[in-house]
Formats: sequence, C-alpha cells, structure tokens
Amino acid sequence: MREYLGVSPRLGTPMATHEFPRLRHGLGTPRTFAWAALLAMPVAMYFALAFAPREATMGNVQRIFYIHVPAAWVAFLAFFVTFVASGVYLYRRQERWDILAVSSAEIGVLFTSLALVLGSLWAKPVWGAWWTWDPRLITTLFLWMVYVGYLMLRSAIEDPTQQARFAAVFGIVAFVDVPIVYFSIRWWRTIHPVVFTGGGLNLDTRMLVALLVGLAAMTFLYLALLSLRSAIEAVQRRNAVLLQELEEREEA
Amino acid sequence: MKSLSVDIAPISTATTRRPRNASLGKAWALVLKDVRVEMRRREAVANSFVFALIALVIFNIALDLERQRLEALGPGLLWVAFVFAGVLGLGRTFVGEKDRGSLGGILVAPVDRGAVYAARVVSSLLFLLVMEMAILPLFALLFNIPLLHPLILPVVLLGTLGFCAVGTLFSALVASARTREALLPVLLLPVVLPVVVGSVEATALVLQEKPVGELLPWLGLLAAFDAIFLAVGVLLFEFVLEGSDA
Amino acid sequence: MDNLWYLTAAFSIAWIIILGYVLVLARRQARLQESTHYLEGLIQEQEGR
Repeated sequence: MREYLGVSPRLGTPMATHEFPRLRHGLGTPRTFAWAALLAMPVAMYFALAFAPREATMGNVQRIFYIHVPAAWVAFLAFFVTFVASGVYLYRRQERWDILAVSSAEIGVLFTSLALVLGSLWAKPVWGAWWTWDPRLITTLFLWMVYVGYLMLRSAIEDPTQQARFAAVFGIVAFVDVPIVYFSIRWWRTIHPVVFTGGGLNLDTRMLVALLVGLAAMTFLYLALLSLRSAIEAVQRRNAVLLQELEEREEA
Repeated sequence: MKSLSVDIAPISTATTRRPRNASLGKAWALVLKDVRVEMRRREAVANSFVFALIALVIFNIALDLERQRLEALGPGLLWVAFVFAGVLGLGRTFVGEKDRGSLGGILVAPVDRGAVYAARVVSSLLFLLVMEMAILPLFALLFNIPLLHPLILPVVLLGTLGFCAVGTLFSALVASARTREALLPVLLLPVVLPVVVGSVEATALVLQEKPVGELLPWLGLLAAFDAIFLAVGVLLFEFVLEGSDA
Repeated sequence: MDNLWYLTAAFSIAWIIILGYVLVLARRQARLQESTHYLEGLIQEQEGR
C-alpha cells in the first residue's frame, strides 16, 4: 500500500493515508500556525477594543482600523506570495509552488473582500459614504477583480500543467500591474479633485501597539489558513492522480 | 593596422545584426500572414467596427447626450467603445489559430517566441487601428464634437498598443479555456485599466484643445505603460506557447 | 459620533468571514478523507487479487 500512496509521481513527497491529518507541507505543520493564530486573535481583539484609546474625532468606530489594516496587509502579502510562487514555479516546475500560488490567491481574495467590507463600514460613519473613488480603494477593488479572475482562469483550464503554467503567467502580470494601477489612478485623481481626504491619522503609541498586534495576529491567521489550504490542495491532487492510476491498473 | 580595423568592423556588426534581422524578417512575415488571413476572413476588423458603432449609438440613446455633457463624457465613451470592441477582436486571434491548428506550424518553424508575440501584437494593433480610424470620424460626425485633431493619433496609437500588448498575451492564455469568450474581458479589462485611464485623460485634453505641453506627460505615461506591458509579454509569452504543439 | 453599530457589525463580519472560510476548508478536508478512504479500499481490493 505504501508503494502506491507513499510516493505519488506528481507530488514527489512521501505521504501515507494515516498521516493525512498531520500532513506536512513546505510551510511546516498547519497545526503550529493554527495554534498561534488561535492564541493571537483574542489578544488582538483585546488590544483593538480595550487597550487602544478612543480616537478623538472618529470615536470608537475608528477601532475598525485595527482589523481593517491587517486584513488589507494580509491580502497584499498573499498576492505577493502568489506572485513569487508563480515565478518560482515557472523557473523550477515543481508542483508545490503552484499549490502555494493557488492557495495564497484564494486566501488573498478572502482577505481583500474582508478589507473592502470593513473599509466600507468605517467609511460610512466617518465620511458619510460607503465608498469613495480614492486610489487606495480602487486599487483594492482592482486586486479583488484580478484575483477572482485568476481563480476563474484556473477553473476554466482542464489540463493541470497548462493550468499551472497559465495561472503563473497571469499571476505575474497581475501583480506587476498593481503599482501601475495605483499610480495611474493617483495621477488621474490629481486632476479630478478628491472629494474626501483620508485625514492624517495621528497614531499615539498605544494605537500603534494595537495595530502591530493586529498585524501579527492576522499574519499568523494567514499562515495557518495557507498551510491548511495548501495541504488540502496537495492531497486533493494526489488523490486525483492516484484514482487515475488505480483505474488504469483496474483496466490492465 | 588601419586596414585591419576597417576589416573587423563590418564583420562584427554583421554577426551581431544578422540574427536580429532574421527574426525581424520572420516576425514581419508573420504579420503579413495575419494581415492576409484577415483580408480573406474579415473577422476582427469588421466585427469590432460594427460593435463599436452600435455601442456609440446605444450610448447616445441611453444617455441622451447634449453638447455640454458630451465634451465631458465623450473621451470616456469613445474609449469604452474601443476597449469593448477591441476585446471582441482580440478574442478571435488565437482561437482561430487553435481551431485551424496553424499555431503548431508556426511553433515548429525556427522563430523566436518573442518574435511570435511581437508579430501578433503588431497585427492586432493594425486591425484595431483600422477599426478605430473608421470609428473616430464617425464619432466626431455623429456626436458633433471636434475630435479630428492630429494630436489624437499618438493618443490612439499608444493606448491601443498597451491594450494589444496585454490583450495578445491574455487571448493566448484563454484560447484553450472552456469559457474563453467570457473569460477574456474579465481578465483583460481590469489589467488594462491604467492604459484606459491614460488614454481617456489624454483624449480629453485633445478635445479641450489644450497645448501639447499638457498632453506630453500623459503620452509619456502611456508610452511607459506600453513599454512595461510589452516587456512582460515578451518575457512570459514563451511559457504560454510551451507545449502547445498540436 | 461613536457609531457602535458599525463597530459591532465590522467585528462580527470579520469573524463570520474567517470562521466561514475555516468551515469551508473543514468540509473540503472531510470530503477528501472520504475519497482517501475510498482509494485505500480500492488499493486493498486490487492487492487482494
């Protein structure tokens, strides 16, 4: 049995069924990150809701900031990981990089959605509008659209290696485009006057600490989700290959 | 001594220039091939032209435009029509190759992948420019706005080039996808957003008859976007063509 | 202008989205475990012969 399950031809990493729940992947065990995230999230909640002082002009609603900014940061980090993994995949052609790219992109879309929703919930009471066409907001919306497109492209191509290759190409173009979009919108905005200004937020030390704790917690959450998601992806692909192999054997 | 240096110089330039000239010649041959196919089938230009025209008519009816609002909205409407018509035209570029199986023939030929990409960008650019040059006077005539200014030409050229640089790469990406017609605009339109922004702003400046000095930064920006997108396309195109030898 | 309603909504939505995704992953994993068991059975069956 080990013979078949032990070394899958495409994944190349030793895996057996009974090891499945604690599957190791390139990023370490999902369990370690899961514990770190589980511990850090309540701490971050405390720092955001109790430790940080009430902001003078915006009031308590400003506390959304301590999860909105980390969510946006993680989204960006996730897409950066997809970008790097795509490049390494094209260079090395090892499937694990493709697994990492798709997993990170999916989580990135999740956190981009979160950042957009939280941003709206912050903007409504502070600016009086759910949405403004500000460079940062447009760029975030752009990220969401492009990486949803990335996932759609993947699901539309059936051949696995072609899917990996094409997705990697798209993943690289998409990320290269991010600063271009940001600066083109900013330049465009200098002509069309900005209706709402972000307003310089003067962070005092305790606010900064709360933000940093939030960033750390959200990063742990990202790593936990990423390792879990990529472990699932790895097993899913191994099972697909295995099923095909067994069916061929059955016929022979 | 003197004669030696004279002798060496032409040899060295010849050895460095020959392969480049050869791949340029091959790229040009590919462009001519695309043009000939298009002349026979008239798919890309005719379809996108009719589409852009219909789009303009619909805009006018839906928005009930008067002169004053037209000057503000015109550039945006024009580029929306161009971009959507362009997606329609680009969508066919690799699909036709794939269905007829002629891509394999090109790939077997000893042509650099970058040259295949460059050739396809140029032929797409030619088709879209023909469509746009037909739409522009109609737009100026139907909407009665003074858009037929010589400065509109570099704007249209640079904007369309950037659009084709990304569009060619992406239309190859979606050619073998199940939902290729629906997928191309979803992938392409967000990525070419900077090019559209730049083109609309530059067109607005031309329409307002601003001096060239104000137009130049936008033209420079568009040229920079084009350069980046073309470089990315040349670098990545070989990964798209790889393995598609059938 | 404290707008605690927005604050509550934001934090609840954040948790709902994150927990929802974890649930989706858990369901995918459960389904994978099923398919792994099925494959195991298939292998044993083939080895039995």
